[in-house]
Amino acid sequence: MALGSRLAKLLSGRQPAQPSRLTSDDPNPFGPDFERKLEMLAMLSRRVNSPLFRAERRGKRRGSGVEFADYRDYATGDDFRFIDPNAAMRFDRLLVRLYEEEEDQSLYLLVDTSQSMGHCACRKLDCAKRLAAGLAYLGLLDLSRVTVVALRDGRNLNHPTTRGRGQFLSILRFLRGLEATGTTQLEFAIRRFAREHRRRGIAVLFSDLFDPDGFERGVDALRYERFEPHLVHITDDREPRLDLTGDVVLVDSETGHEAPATVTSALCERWQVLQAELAERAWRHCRTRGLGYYRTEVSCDFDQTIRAWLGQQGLRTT
Amino acid sequence: MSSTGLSLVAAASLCILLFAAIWLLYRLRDHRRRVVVAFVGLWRAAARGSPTLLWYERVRRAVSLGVQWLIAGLLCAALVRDDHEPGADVAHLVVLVDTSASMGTVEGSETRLLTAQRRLVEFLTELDDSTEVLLATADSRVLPRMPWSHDRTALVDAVRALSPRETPSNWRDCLATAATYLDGRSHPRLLLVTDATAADWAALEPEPRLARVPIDAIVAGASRYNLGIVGFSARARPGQHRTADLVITLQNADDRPHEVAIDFSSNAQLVRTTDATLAAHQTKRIHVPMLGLATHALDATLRVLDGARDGFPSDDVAFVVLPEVGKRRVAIVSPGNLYLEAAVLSDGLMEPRLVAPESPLDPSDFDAAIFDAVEPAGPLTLPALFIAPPPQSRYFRQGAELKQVGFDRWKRDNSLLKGLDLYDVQIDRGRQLLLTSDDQGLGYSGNRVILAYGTREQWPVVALGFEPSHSDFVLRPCWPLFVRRILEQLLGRSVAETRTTRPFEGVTLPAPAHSLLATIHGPDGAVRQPLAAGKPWTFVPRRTGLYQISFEQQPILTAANLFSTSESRIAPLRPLVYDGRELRPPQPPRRHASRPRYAYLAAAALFWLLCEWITFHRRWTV
Repeated sequence: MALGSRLAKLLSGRQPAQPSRLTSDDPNPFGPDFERKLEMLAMLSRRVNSPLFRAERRGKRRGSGVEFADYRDYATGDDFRFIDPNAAMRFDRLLVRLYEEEEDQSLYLLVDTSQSMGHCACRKLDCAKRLAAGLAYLGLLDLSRVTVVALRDGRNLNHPTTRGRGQFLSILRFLRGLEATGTTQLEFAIRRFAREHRRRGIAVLFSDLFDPDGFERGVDALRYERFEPHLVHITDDREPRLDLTGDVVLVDSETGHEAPATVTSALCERWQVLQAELAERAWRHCRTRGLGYYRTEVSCDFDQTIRAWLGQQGLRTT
Repeated sequence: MSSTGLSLVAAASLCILLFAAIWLLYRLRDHRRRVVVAFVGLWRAAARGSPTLLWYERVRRAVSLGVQWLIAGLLCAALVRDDHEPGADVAHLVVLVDTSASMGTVEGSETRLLTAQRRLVEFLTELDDSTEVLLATADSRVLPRMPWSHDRTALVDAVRALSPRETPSNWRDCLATAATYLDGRSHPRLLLVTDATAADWAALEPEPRLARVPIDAIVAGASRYNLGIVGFSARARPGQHRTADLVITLQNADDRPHEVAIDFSSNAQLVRTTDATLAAHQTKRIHVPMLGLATHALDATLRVLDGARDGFPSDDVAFVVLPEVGKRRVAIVSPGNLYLEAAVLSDGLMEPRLVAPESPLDPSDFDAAIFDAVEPAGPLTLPALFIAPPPQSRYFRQGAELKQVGFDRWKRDNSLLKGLDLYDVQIDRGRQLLLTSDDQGLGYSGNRVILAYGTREQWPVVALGFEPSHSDFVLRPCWPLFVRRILEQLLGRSVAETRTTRPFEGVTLPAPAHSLLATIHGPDGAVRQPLAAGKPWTFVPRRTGLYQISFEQQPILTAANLFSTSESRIAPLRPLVYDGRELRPPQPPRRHASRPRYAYLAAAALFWLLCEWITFHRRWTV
C-alpha cells in the first residue's frame, strides 16, 4: 500500500490494522487536509534544501569520510594506510591524515504532554502534535533519524528512532495516541531523555512552558547535554474565557492547587500581559544562548507556522 | 397628605428579615465555583500585580454587604407609614408689631406706627397662601391680635386697627413669647415691626429658641429729637398736708442741648415754673422744695423753649398724687434703748411710743411694734420687729451663741436690705436664729442666720439675732435706714413717698367689701366698672394721666406715667442687629412644598442600587 493511501486512511480516522494505542474515541488532531499540507511542506522543503533537517551534515567526529580534516601523529595501532608520505618526508616524522566523518542527522521531537497542554477545547497538545508530525515528515524526507519523545513527569514515552518516509505513519500513530496527563517537570524529563538518547542532534521541544519550576533549567539541560535545542512555545490567548469571570476558585489542571480569585476583565488583561512576558522571557533566554525560539498560537495552522520558521531561518519558502 | 404604609414595628421586622436574607446570600456567595485553568501560577501572578488596592481588597466584601443592607434599610424606611402632617408644608410667620409709646412718635404727618402699618400691609398683601400668620402686638407684653390664619383680609384689617400704647417696650419677654408661638411649627419665621429704639436693643440678650428662626424687620422712624420727663415723685411734709418736696427727672435724647421749662400745676392751676438746661443726651434730676399744692394731685408739663415741640408727647407730661400724710404709730417695747428710739425718731413720719414689756398692746393704738429683747405680753396682734429675742422666745427659736461675728452675706436684692451695706458690721455677741419652713433668712454669719423674715400669727415679723448695742451697727448711718426700711415693709408701703403706675400695669386698690361698682374719672372721661364683691380690685389704667376712682362716696386718686428712660430715647437703631444677625426688610417667603418622606428614601435607595449595580459589574464590590 502506498504511503499516500495509508496516510489518508489514518487521517480519516479509520482503525489501522496493526496494534496501536489509538482509540476510536480519540479526536483526530490532524484534520482532513493534513496530508495535503504535508505534501506542500515537503515540496517547499525540497526546494529550499533546508540545512536544518538535512541528514548529510558535517559532524564533529573524525572518522572515515572522504574530506580531509587534519593531521595527527601516528600512534601504535593506526592504520598505516592513512600515513601521509609527503608530510612524513617534509617534517621527518609520521603523520596520519584525518578525515571528517559524515553522519546522519538526529532529530528529536520532544512533546510536552503534561495536563496543561491538554487544557481547553483548543488543546495545545493537538497543536504540538501537528507541528511535530510536520517536522517529523520533513525530517524523514531528509533522511534524518527522527525520534519522537513524549515528556512526562514519571516516564518519558519514546517512539523508536526511525528513518525513511515509510516510518511516518508509525510516528503519526504514536502522536495521535498521546494524551495530556501528569505534571510539567521539564528539567526532570529532559535529563531523563538525555540519558536515554546518547546520540546528539537537534532537539525540538514543544511546550507551553507552564512549569512551576521554570522552563529555563529544562532548556539549559538540553543544551548542556549537547543537543541543539529549539524551543516551540505554544500559547493559547483564549484561555481567559468569557465564562471565566466573577468569584471563582482557580484549580490548576496539573497539580490541583487552588487559588480563590475574582476574575475581572482587568485581571484577564493582566494575564495576557504576563503571558506575553513569559514569551518574551523565553525568547530572551534562547537568544542569549543561541537557541532557536518559535512562538505559535494554538489556533494557527501548522503548515503556516512551519513555513514561518523556515522563513526565520533565512530561507525563502515561497 | 396621609399615605398608608407599614407601622414602624412591622417595617423594623421586615428590615431585620431582609438583613438576615442578605447576610445569608452574602455567605452563600462565598461558595465560589471551581474553574480549572492550565496553570494557576500565572493567574496568581496576575492577581498579585493587580492595581486594586490591598486595603480595599480586604474591605470590599464588607462594603458590598453594607451597601446592600443600606439599600434594604432605605427601602424599609420608605415603607414606614408616612406621618406627614398636612401643616408640615405650611410656613408659619409671627408678626410682632411694636405698639410701645415710641411708635406714637409723629414724624412728618404720621406716626411711626402708621408708617410701619402701611409697609406691613404691603408685605402681607404679597404673601402667598401657604403661609400662616399670627399677628401680635409687642410693648410691655405680647398681646395676640390675630390667631394663626390664612385670611389676609382679616389680617390687614387687624393691622390697620392697631394703635400705640403709652407703655415701654419689653423685647426680651416679647421675643421669648414669640419663640413660644413658633415652637413646633413648620418653617417658622419671625417678622418684627418696630422703630428699634437703640436703648431697647443694645443690651438685649438673644432668645436661644430663635437662633434658627429667620427674623426680618420692618423698621420705621428716623428722628432722635425728644425731650421728656422720665421720673417725677413728691414727698409730703409731715403735718403740712398741702406742701410737698418734688423731684423731677428730665432726659434729653437729642444730639443738641436744649432749654426747657417745667410747669407744675395742681387742680389746673399753675403752681410754679422751673427752667433748666439739658445738655446733649443728658438725664438731669431737679429738686423743687416746699411747693404748695391746691389739691393732692400735681402734674408737670415740659416745654422746650428753644425749638418746636418734639414728636413724642407721651413723656412731656407727668402726674403725681401725694399720699395721705399721717404718722405711723410704732410701739417700742423695750427696757430702754436710746439707739432704737433715735432710729425711729429720725423719720418724721414715725411716731414712736415706749411701752413697758409687761404691758399688753392694744392693736388699735399702734400700727407696728418693736420688741427689744422681750416677748409680747399677750398674743401678737401687730406687725413686729424682734430685736435679740430672748432665748426662750415663742416666736423665734434660737441656736448656738455667736461671738465676734458679722454679716458674711445678706440678700442684697431683698427690698428690706436694698442699698444697705452691712459688710463690716462688727457683732460682739448674738445668737443664731432657727427658721421654720416658711421663714426666710436675710442675713448670715457663715451659714447661721442672724436676720430673718417670716410670718407669726398671720402678721409679718422680722427678727435680728443680736442686740444692736452689742455691735457697732448702731454707730453706722445704715442703722436708722435699716429700722425705717423694716417698718415700712411691715406697714406695707411707704408712708411718705408717692407711688405711680404705668399704663397697662395694674395697681391694687382697697375697694370696700360691699361696693359693687367703681366709677373711674380719667383722661378719657368717666367710666363705670363692676367689682367682684369681697375681693381686691386691680385697676389698670390705659393712658397716662390722673385717675379718680370712686367707690360710692369714697374717692381715691392715682396717677399713671410712662417714665421710661429707654422709651424716651426714640433714636432708631440702624442697622438693626439681633443675635449677631442684621435684620433686613422681609421678602415674601417661598412656597415650601416638601415631598413625602418615602420619595426621598426611595430615591436614595435607587441611587445606592445604581452604585451597587455599577460597582458590582466592575467587580469593585464583589
